[in-house]
Amino acid sequence: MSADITKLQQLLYEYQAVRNEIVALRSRIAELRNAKRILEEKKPRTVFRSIGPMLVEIGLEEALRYIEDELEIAELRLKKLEEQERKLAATIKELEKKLGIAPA
Amino acid sequence: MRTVAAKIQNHEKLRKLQDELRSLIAQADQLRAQIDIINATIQDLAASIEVLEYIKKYGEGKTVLVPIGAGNFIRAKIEKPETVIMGVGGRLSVEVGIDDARKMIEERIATLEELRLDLLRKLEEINRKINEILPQVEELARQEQQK
Repeated sequence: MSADITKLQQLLYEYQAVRNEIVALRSRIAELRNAKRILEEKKPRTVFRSIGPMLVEIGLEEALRYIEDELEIAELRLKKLEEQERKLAATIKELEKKLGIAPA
Repeated sequence: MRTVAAKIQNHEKLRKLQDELRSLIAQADQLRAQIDIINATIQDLAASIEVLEYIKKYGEGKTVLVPIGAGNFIRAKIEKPETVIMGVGGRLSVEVGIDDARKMIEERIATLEELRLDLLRKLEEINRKINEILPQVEELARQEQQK
């Protein structure tokens, strides 16, 4: 019983961490899509990319490529995390049922 | 027998209301934190507009002190005051005209103000629920202590 409760606490902690990462990733994806929209609308010849505290001048094409790459990475990671979230939620639900407690 | 059942019922009701109250308080705290972040961002954006106004007014060649961190500054001359390098998100920035920059900043402020209003309304609703539940929790807790 006590081991199950400890396990449940760990799972809930892990679930929250995954949820937080999902929220951060969704926000990053929205930010990248917004940047892409602005670049496509304004079509500036030069774009600056921040590398540490510096701004480095890059072309529009390079900037759009950078956004596409970053979006691909973020979307893949999001899919993995959403899958992990679903699995964790199912395990938590099962354990809560076993312990006879109301869902958190 | 009925008293025991009533006690259990009261205890269960108290526990549920306490859980609901805790959840509402947590939600209110989260909303307050989000509102604080929005307020800070609006202040930051308003400060940017102030700088743009100054740059536009005093223009090219003006010597200013640029912060380099830890309260240290270097002297720099303003060059090309008609354009501004503006962040568009995703660690990217673009060069835009000073008036466009001002317009974009003002739009962001307006969006954030709408969002703040929405969050304030939600906070008000949660506070209303808290004020509804709190006296019930206090009353049930008092009854439980008396038994």
